[in-house]
Order: sequence, then structure tokens, then C-alpha cells
Amino acid sequence: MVALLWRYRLLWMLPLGVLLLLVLVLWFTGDGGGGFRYTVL
Amino acid sequence: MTTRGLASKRLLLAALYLGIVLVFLEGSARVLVWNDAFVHRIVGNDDASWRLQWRLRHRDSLDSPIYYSFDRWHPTRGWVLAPDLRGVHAMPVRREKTLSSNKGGLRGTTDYIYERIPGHRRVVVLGDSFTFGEDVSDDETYCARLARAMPGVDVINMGVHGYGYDQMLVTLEEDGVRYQPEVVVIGFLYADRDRGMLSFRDFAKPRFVLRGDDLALTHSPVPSPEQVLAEWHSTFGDLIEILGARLGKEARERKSVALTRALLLRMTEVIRGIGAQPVLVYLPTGAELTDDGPVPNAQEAFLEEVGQRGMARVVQMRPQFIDARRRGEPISPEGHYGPLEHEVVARGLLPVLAAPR
Repeated sequence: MVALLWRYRLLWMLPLGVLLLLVLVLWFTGDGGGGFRYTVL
Repeated sequence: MTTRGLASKRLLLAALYLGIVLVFLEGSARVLVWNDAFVHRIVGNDDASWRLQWRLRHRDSLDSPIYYSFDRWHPTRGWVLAPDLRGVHAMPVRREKTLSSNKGGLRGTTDYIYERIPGHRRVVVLGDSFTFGEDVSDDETYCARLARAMPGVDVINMGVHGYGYDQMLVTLEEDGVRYQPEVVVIGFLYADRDRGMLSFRDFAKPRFVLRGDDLALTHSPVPSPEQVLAEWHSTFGDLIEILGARLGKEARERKSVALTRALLLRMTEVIRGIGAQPVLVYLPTGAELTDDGPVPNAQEAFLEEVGQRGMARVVQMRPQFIDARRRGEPISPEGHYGPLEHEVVARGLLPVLAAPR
């Protein structure tokens, strides 16, 4: 099983990597703002 | 297996793999947005961010289908103030404040017929939540104060929270001009310029795009809350769109300034077209309220330039706030205007509106 996963690692690492990259970029570039909104002071 | 058969099998496997990947990405995105802290951290000021937050707020119920309980869906403006409200305590921060609306869904209890009474002067005021009077009572808004200070003058407050200049333009064309005003005041906030770039904010909204020098209306009619909720929407797609908007922030800023200029100029054209006087009022907010620097600054100069091109009178409110603070009045830069800030705006506008044209 492990050998099979390793053999096809690109197939599952690629989507996981895309998701991880997206989440990290969104998280670290996010300012927690929703634009001009005063309801939460 | 033949070469052709092998190729078909590989194609099928590739399609299956792609399908699984897409399901995985979409599923993961949907799980991620269940976390409020994650959503709060990543959202920006773009369609996808606002739409995602709206969808998350409404996944269980459509009780308050737009944003606040006093909002109503509108097919061409997105949302409007619900009509016939009386003394409702629904302001988001200052719950003790009262909110009323007339039969036409305008702030206050006074009903207006479209025909102007001979001898009566009429002022229509367009704006966002600062003009509408979010977090103050009906009689504390600058419009209500102006109406009290000018007997015989109707001051019609058409401000609606969350509005961009696009929604103000639609409101003016559809309804504002029908009140036959002599003067139309536009409450301008520099921070509102980016609303023109959105087709979804507090809810779905109309949006104008610039084609050369012309404005073209898009995203109109606006779908109802039920339609928006029923539409399938990719959450993974939203995350990608949020990222894309963030990367193109500077280009969006340039576009939003050009669009705001065009929308304001169109409004001044419409106003002059009915023989009324356009008045653009710069309403300082946040840190601007405690800025003692020279007037006009770059943002205020933008409005001066628009006023000059649109043959509109421009009123800068920052000098009024500087004077008020020098007199020791406790001007607060926090949140929406309180009663004092509305009073300062009314004081600044009174000499402009009271003078006969």
C-alpha cells in the first residue's frame, strides 16, 4: 500500500500541494478585512 | 489492447483523476469555510468575499435575507430600506437608537408626494450609511436636522447603508428625479469608491462598467435572495477569485477611481438635466475626522475636480470638523457618525442649502 502511494505520489501530492499553497497564500496575505464596514468596532 | 484502446483508457483515467481532484478541492474548500476564523482572516473587498460571507450567513435561514433586518430586496438597486417602519431598535451597534421609514422606504416618518407643493423648496440627499444615519435615531441625522432648521424646505433623505455611487445613480434616475428637487446633495465618502467595482456587497447589486467614456449597466436586474441561494456556486472558485482580486488590487484601485468619477459626473448630468443644482459634500470619516492638515488634500481635491467638471458645488466638511474640535467638541473617529458628527455636517450644509438659488 505504502509502496503504491509512493509510486503514484505526484497524483495525490499535486492537489494537496495546490490546496496547501492556496490556503497559506490566502492566510498570510489576508488582512481580515471586508472592506469598508463599521458594524464590528 | 490496441493502441487506440490504450489511449482511450488513459484519457478516461485522466478524466476520472481530474474529477476526483476537483471534488477533493471543492470539498476541502467547503470544509475550510466552516471555520469562521479562517473566513474572517482571508476575506477581502471583492465579489467573492462578500458573496461567500452572505452565503455562509444564510446557509440555515433566510430570516434577514439581505444584511440587516430592516433591508428589503430590490430588483434594480439590490436592497432598499423597508417601508413603514416605526421606532424599530435594529441599529447594529447602538441598539437604543430608533429607526423609522416612510411609505416609500425613506428614512423618517414624513411621507412625500412626488409633486412639489408650490412655494415649497425641496432637497434630495443621496448617500450611504452616513447619510442614512446608521447608529443614530431618525431625528439625529444631518438630513433631519437640516429639515428642522429650514421650515418650508423638504429634505428627503434617500441614503441607504452600503450603497455605492452606482446604486445612488440608479436611485436618482428611478426615484430621486421624480421628487422634482431644486437641489440634489450627494454625500461623498472617498472610501466608497471601491463599491463601484462590486456586483455583490451586502447583497447582490447592480454594477456599471466603463466602456471608453460610456457607462454600461451590468448585473441588473438583481437576483432575489432565494435565487442566489439556489444557484450552485463553487467555494473553491471563490477562494481562487479572492486570491485573484488580491493580486490585482492596484489595477482595481485605478479603475475604481475612474469609475467613481464617471458615476459622479453622470449624476451631476442627470441633476442638471432636471434643472436642479448638484451639491457634492465630502463627508470625512475615520482618521480624516482628526486630520488637521490643509484642505483640500488629495482625496478632497478629487471631488473638487469632479465638481468643476460636473458644474456642481463642492462642500468640504473637514474644516467644519477641525473647527468643532478646536471648540472642544468631542468628535469621534470611531464607526459611523454619532449625533454630534451629524450636527456638524448639518451646520456646514445649512448656509449652502438655506441660501436661495
